[in-house]
Amino acid sequence: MTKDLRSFLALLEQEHPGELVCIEREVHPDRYELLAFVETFEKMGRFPAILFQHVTTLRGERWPGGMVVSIDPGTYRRAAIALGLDTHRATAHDAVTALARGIQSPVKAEPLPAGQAPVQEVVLRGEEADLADLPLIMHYEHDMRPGWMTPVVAVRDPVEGRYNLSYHRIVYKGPRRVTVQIAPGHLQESLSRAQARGEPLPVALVVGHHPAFYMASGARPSWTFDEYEVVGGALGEPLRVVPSVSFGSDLMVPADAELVVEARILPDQVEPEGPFGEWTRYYGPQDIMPVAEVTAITRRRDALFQAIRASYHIIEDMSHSAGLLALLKTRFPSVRSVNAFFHTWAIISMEKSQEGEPMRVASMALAYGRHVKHAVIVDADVDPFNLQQVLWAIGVRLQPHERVKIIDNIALNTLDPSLTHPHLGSVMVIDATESVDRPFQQAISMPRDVLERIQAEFESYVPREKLARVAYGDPWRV
Amino acid sequence: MAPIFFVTCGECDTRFPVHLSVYEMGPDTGVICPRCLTGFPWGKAKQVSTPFSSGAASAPGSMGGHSHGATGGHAH
Repeated sequence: MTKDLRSFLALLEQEHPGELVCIEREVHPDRYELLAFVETFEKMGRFPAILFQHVTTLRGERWPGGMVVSIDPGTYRRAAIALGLDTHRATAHDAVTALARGIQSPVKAEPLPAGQAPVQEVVLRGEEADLADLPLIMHYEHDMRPGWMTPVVAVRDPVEGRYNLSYHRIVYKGPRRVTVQIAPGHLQESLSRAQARGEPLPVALVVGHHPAFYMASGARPSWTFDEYEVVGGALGEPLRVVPSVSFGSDLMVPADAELVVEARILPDQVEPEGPFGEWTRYYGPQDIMPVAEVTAITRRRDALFQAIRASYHIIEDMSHSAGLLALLKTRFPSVRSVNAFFHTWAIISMEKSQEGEPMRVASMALAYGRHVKHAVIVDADVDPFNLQQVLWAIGVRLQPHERVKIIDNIALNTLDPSLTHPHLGSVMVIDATESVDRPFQQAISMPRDVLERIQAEFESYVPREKLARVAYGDPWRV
Repeated sequence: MAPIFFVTCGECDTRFPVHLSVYEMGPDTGVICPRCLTGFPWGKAKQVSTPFSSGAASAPGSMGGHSHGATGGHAH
């Protein structure tokens, strides 16, 4: 079976039913209701994928597909499921490693003939293509009205012909008009190339696909990679693509998506866009952004309109963790694991062999992109996903005046609310590894034979029924 | 100081953040109220809170470091 959003939801329903909640009652995405559900679940400490079976469009009518899926907030467990790992054994590190391996093993896309793609079961062009007929979403109360989508934008570079995939916020500006929020990156580079020729840039706003599609789209592989092929690596099978109805084979689109908005970014038109609730948990301010003109909307008959919460989602953390791990491994085989999170932190573990090596690793991590503001290097005995361990290492393995470096005058993500310059700020590198150029204190350890004996005979000391009565919980909470 | 300034809409009184780069483009640069979708040059806003509190950046044109607005708004 081809991997797409539906195959993933079916897998959850059949094998991991606790991961999916269906809500049958009518829900209004443009009245902030989707995120109200997500945040209510969060407060309960539960993080399911949510399938809304009855949602309304921006026009207030029932969405013909009758469903919107929020796969957000994603979890490492669902990421592991999506990547085909054994959830009884897999760790977050295993999931990141599997994704890193996938995005480094590109698989050529498989073209389908025009008209044979699920995403083109319904084709709307001209005045029939009206964005108000989509279940556009309002996330936070001060977001610009009337509604947003947070698709993956697919673009074919006008000079080199490679495909790039990246997340962008898109706001409704009219039935066939949107703005596309663009930050420095590959899409901006392609747009600049089209603008230099005075030409519009064809793009596809892709909504609804397998989580591996989203995870691979969020990673930042080398500019030389075709990201349709990178997605194929993450999926473990070719991404099926089909000629767009507007641009033919000049812009191939993912055939198994739920919905695609075909558009062209105009070379010479901009409009104010924003505010929009962002990953910082603050509103990204209004800015001037390029305008795109919609040329067609294609979709499945009962398309699932997938919503991604821009304010925070683990899927993108995973993407950056895997992207960083893949990048660092190309130069430093001694790197073991990476946990990137909050769009600002990168915790990197490595087998350090000499002083200065962590700083080189950190320098390469900073070059990955503006998602790395604080790079922390730890030894391989520290799990980057265990923040108690990381803080312990920072607590006992370094002297701040020796091992904490601040680098200033460096370009940062412009959404960072702590910036005091429009885009320049500073980054921090913390080397929390043990010194190897002088004797370091001996780490505590148990006599191995004693520990193994007690573990082997544990049940004779603490019978199973007694163990069952022992309270279980987080030592850091009352 | 974050790289933003605040604009207040004269139609619905909504106060919203705008990126500093828009400020630097000058007061004729258009903004749109995110609530009522009224468009206007930010220099014609009911109130503008300047981003400059200590001269960390230079203001465009003759705006200097002072607050500005149709009703003589003040910095926040």
